Amino acid sequence: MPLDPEGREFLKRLFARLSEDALMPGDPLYEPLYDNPDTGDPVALMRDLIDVSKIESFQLFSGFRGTGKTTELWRLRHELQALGYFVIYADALDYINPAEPIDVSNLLMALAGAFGDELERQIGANIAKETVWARFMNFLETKVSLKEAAVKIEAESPAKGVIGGGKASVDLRVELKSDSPFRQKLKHAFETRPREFKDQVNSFFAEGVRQIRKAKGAETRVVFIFDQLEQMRGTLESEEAVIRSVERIFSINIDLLKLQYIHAVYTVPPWLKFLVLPNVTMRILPTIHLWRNDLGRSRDEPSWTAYRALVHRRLEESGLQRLFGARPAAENETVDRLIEMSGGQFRDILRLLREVVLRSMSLPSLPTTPAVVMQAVNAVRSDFLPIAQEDAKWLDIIARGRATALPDTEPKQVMRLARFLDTHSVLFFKNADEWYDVHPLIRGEIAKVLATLPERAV
Amino acid sequence: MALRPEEGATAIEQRYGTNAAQEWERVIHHFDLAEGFSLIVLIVPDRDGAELCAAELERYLAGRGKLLRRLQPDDPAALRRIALPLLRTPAEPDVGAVWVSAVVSHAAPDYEDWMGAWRWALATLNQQRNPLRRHFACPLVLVGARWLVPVFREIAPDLWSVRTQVVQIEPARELSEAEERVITADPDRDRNFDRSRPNSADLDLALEAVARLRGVPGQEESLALVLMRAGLALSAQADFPEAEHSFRQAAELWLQIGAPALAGSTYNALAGAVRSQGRVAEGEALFRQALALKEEGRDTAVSRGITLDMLARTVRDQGRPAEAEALFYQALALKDEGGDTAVSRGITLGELGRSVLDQGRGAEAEALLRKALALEEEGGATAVSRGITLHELARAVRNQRRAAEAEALFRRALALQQEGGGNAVLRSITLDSLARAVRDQGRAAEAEELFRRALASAEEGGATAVSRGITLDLLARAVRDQGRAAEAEELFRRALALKEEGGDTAVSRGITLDLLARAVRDQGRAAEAEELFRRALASAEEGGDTAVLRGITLHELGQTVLDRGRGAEAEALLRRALALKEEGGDTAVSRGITLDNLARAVRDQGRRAEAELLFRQARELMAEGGDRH
Repeated sequence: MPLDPEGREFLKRLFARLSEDALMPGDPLYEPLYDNPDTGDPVALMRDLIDVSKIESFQLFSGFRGTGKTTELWRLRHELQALGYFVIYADALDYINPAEPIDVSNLLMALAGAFGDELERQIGANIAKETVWARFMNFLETKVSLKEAAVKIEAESPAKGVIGGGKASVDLRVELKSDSPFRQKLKHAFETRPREFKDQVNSFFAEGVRQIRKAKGAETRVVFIFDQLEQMRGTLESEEAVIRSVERIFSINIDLLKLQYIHAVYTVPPWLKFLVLPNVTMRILPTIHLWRNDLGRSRDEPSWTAYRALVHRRLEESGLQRLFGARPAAENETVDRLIEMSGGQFRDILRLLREVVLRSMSLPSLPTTPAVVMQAVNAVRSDFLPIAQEDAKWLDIIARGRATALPDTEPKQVMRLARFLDTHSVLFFKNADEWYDVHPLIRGEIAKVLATLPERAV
Repeated sequence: MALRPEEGATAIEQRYGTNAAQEWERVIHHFDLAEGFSLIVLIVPDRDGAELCAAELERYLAGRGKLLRRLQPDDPAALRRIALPLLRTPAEPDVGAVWVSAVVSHAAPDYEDWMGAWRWALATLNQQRNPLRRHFACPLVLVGARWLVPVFREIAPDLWSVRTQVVQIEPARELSEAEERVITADPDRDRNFDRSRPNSADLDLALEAVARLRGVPGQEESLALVLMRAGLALSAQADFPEAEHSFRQAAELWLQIGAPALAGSTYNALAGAVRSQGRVAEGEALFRQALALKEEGRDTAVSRGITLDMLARTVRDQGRPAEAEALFYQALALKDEGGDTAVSRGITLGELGRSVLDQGRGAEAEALLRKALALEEEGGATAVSRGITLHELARAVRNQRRAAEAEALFRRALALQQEGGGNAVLRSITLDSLARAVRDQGRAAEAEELFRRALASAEEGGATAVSRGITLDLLARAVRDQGRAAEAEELFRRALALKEEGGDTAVSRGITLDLLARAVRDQGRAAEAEELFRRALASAEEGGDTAVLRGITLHELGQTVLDRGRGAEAEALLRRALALKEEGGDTAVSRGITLDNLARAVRDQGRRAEAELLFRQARELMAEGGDRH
């Protein structure tokens, strides 16, 4: 006999609170997991750096999938707005094709396009378009003598459209995202006249800042958050080329990305971390470490407290009691088991909790049963399987050494490690040091795979 | 309250069992609980399974006034391009879910193309993760085979990271398709047969469980499962009577429980056990029952194909090759539809080839058998299995009188059987066939050696009396070919005794009798030979042998009677012989020889002119046939 209607409604309400969607600042479901002296609050660190950098700043921000980057960036935006900053937040994927190699001219144009569009949206079309874009397009048309590009622009009116309004923004995005002649000419322009190109870009942004201060106040400070750039990874054919292109930009052309009078925060692919790039500092959102980097993986109680609080916030006391049985959350073994199996990844804890809720629908009554919890853990574990033998060897090395054990920085190896991190097979932690470990759900599976091999990993 | 029609849940449970039904419930619960976009990855065993799940979801959504929007790419190229049609799919309020399905077995012939298409599609969808989430306010269900999961993780990590559920529908039947093949195999002839399966320890545990569960209310399903396990273990030990008993009990329980698909699988196993005991007609009836139950239980196409294959073999065993051929074609169609493995399809194709060969269509059989072999090689079939197919191919080639080519193929078949550790009976059959091909080329001494080896293998493997009798008969011919009539006679007598002991057909016994008579006549014992020829003829007529072969025996009888000076009687016999040979379309040389003897019989009665005419006709016939005799 299935659960009664009231029970099903209860589970439905719980389920809705277990969504993995990014949370807007002030959302009651948000748990400040990073409010931890051990790891430091990355948003606070970025905010403070902006605050102490009076004129402009440049920060790279990243995190592996499911660590809450977007939620934290939204929080950053919110806190900066509360401090009086004018914040422009844009989605890089609206302007860049993540499957294709990118060059700095394209990225600069994308930054400019995003900045200009958001400016239009927040301040108003006339101010943005008539001066800012017009000047930039004029540069392309005249100074670079790109007659073909000019004709193209003329015919298809991306420039005119930009000046005129919305439609052309879409056209310009299309031009930037496709391997169009316009992009080619842009690249040519940069290569043949790099300084002028950069001057035009600087001029563009400077004009933008002027417009903002005109509208919002002379002391207004501007922050530009360019999100989703970390999605640059390429396709099956283009992966290596994309990686090389991103590496090139951030090793050779990084200074070109710094915007005058603007505090810029770009999200970047986390695998950049594994390439030794001079003068590049990235702030990476770590996984909350439920255990310490010692041999026995002893519990980190502050992190456990934070996670229990997260579960409590999502399920609420009444939900916890009804779903798992009447006892305080801090003493609930079942909840602790799920937290432990999450590895400190909150997408995984949410997934585990959702599985428990879904499977509990088939019970005749609540609370849920140990069998249901076990099935939920097994279901989430199965998402990691199968584990290839070669992967098991590497993962074992990581688990033993608590380090990446990256053999070299060739794209193939870098992406392989990035995949481990993106799929949460490997977790990235940070307290005093940075370290890595293997997800608790698959430690046993790795051992099983290795047991079948003639030689164990060293 | 969620609408979950009992009929719908039962369909998945009927086909795949309770665990699969519970997994499917998770999908339905998700629809009960969640709103907005979500990504569900659904893993199913085959296309049948995908269709079944789609139908269930459609029914569920219809109950809530919603539609299931299906995108089902017909070919890999369409799958590669799926992102655009997907994003163009209208996000109408009445759409309850969007379904993208491309389920392809790892063993499918175009698996590589589909794998490449999925990789491309997922990579493209990965880039469209956010647009997808913005576009659809309902779940997106991506449906594939099990191999899709690691591909998805690797190729589309962004999309994978926002998955809501991964649901795997897997059959939980105790009797897997592989086991079905094992149990229903013919241990003497079938390449599927593998005695290295459940051992006595498993049997002990199964029997212990049976004892514990018998009579316990509410445990019928578990009891049926352990009874099947016991049956499997017993079959593996070739204890077919006990296996039969176990399977019957299990089948009864499945029918009581109302699980027709599982009952069908059990009947399939039961039929195999019965067939293995030589009760072929009864086996046929049980296979038909198994098929009916599987159809009632909406079992997979592959599973039904397996049963049809076994039914066809049983029909062929009873000497109905044309009927078997039609059944094999049906089995093959189902296996293709269900995306069965290359090896499995190859085996059925090979059995079909054998049926076609049994009907004398050598060239057609050869083409089928070559395709079968290619499939088996592609799929990595065992050496023994490939050896059996090669053997049949060699037979088809020999049937078309290409003896040297056939010999080479038989030798390859034998090597494979030896490499794969095939049983002695199988080896004996191939050795026998090799020896025939060698004898066809006039190498009697070599053929004799091979026949002796075949016989030794047959005896070692415990082949049937009929089988050993056939090989002995052929050995005797090779010995007689070398002029050792007395030795040949003794071998023919032994062969005949075995054939009679084994209940061989009248036709087969008649052939051996004919050859025995020749060996006796070779030693000058004409009276005895005449009696044996009469017995041979009676046997051939009783068994309804072909006109040509009856004509040949009549010719030999007529010649023997003629040699004993009874011209008129010989004439009548030889005229009958000639008529039969003409009726059966015998070769010109053969007819010429009979005409020549007829001419002698006529001449011996003093009718010289008539005899002269007959002699001339005989010479012309033999010349026409290329004989300068």
